[in-house]
Amino acid sequence: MMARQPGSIPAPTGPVAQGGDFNRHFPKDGDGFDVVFTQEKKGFAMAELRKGGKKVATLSVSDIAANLSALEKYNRSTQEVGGYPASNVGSQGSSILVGEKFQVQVRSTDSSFSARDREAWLQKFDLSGLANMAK
Amino acid sequence: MTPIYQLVDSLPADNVTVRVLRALDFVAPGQWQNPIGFENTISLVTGETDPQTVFRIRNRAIELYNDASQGYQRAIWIYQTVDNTDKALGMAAMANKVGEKVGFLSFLSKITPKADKVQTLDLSLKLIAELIAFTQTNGLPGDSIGDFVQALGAYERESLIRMSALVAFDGVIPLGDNFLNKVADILEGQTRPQDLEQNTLFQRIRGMVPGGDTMGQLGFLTQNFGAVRNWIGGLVAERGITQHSVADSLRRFVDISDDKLDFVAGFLDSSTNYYEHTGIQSVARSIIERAVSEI
Repeated sequence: MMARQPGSIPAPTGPVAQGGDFNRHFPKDGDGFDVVFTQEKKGFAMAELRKGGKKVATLSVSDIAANLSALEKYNRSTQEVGGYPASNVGSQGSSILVGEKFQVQVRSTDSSFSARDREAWLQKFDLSGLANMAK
Repeated sequence: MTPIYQLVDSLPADNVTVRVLRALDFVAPGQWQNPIGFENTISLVTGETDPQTVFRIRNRAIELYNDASQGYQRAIWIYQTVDNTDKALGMAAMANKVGEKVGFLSFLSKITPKADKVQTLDLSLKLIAELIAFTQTNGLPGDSIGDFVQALGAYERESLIRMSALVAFDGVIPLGDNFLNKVADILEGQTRPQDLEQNTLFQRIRGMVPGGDTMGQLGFLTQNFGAVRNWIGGLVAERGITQHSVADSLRRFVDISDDKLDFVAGFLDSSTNYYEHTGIQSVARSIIERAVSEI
């Protein structure tokens, strides 16, 4: 995690992306982890991260054009992950804002999955692909 | 439209539905905790307890549910409709009034067991209802049987107990341990489109059943049953779901005898709303998981 200067991020313009277009930018299966897609709606896609069949986290991408209030926390953010503004979401979630449009979030659903794990898995998304998509 | 928080807040902590679902704990041990109360459910699903965070998740969840184009309202409608078709008037209220144990015999005169063909169609239609509600909730195309079958394998908690109840109360109890073969035989060999036309549940949800005309819809029903049959068979074998094991478990709070199982099925049908109860819980869980990801 790197330091960041707080600052105002412009609200995204343009249409809300289709959830299905996010899927290919999700992390892939590997190292005993399975990525199982569970929801796919306009502006939103979600998968469960399973280890040995057990759900340990949720992975999601959402278009903040559909929920602009989500932007606020990144304006105030003093942290970066992978070069993108980062924020906690409650006590169990870690998120970043990619391309000033797509919120990527990893949430622990099992106590074995730590904040450090969340930060690592955020960076397993194809972030540059998502940033390109945001353009 | 009833808001999602009100639907979840209105779920009972204890009634006949809750008791019969608890009796199925042996099928899905520890899976179902009957989450009730909207804020409480938010905390259970997200692990968040800070009131401000819960409040923000709540607002986003309400917003998502209120937007009809998201499909959540339609999913709830399906779950409610499945349970509302053939309630014997007043039976649920009567059954819920009783204390520790339901004196089942007092209901006998009010129950008409269903013919096997009707029971078969109801079971198959409930499976279709689950397919439609699942796809509406999670955003998949409504005719994607393959995706649905794959998802069934990952079902847990409210969804798993609902499917367990379907197998136990709409399959095994009324049709016997050999119900899978029976249903397949009836669907493939003895059911005509007219039978479907006459089915009350079909009449209510036909507009959502893929397949085109009634003939095509009957084909879709048969195809869907064929696709989920293996999964059901696996659950039955793995968990030992038999008339004997289910009846035994139900005996803890309903007086039943083995020669009256047809009537037990009718009683459960008229006095419980397990599809609606757990359906609300499943949809709420999906919305909450999404809401916390979007705030």
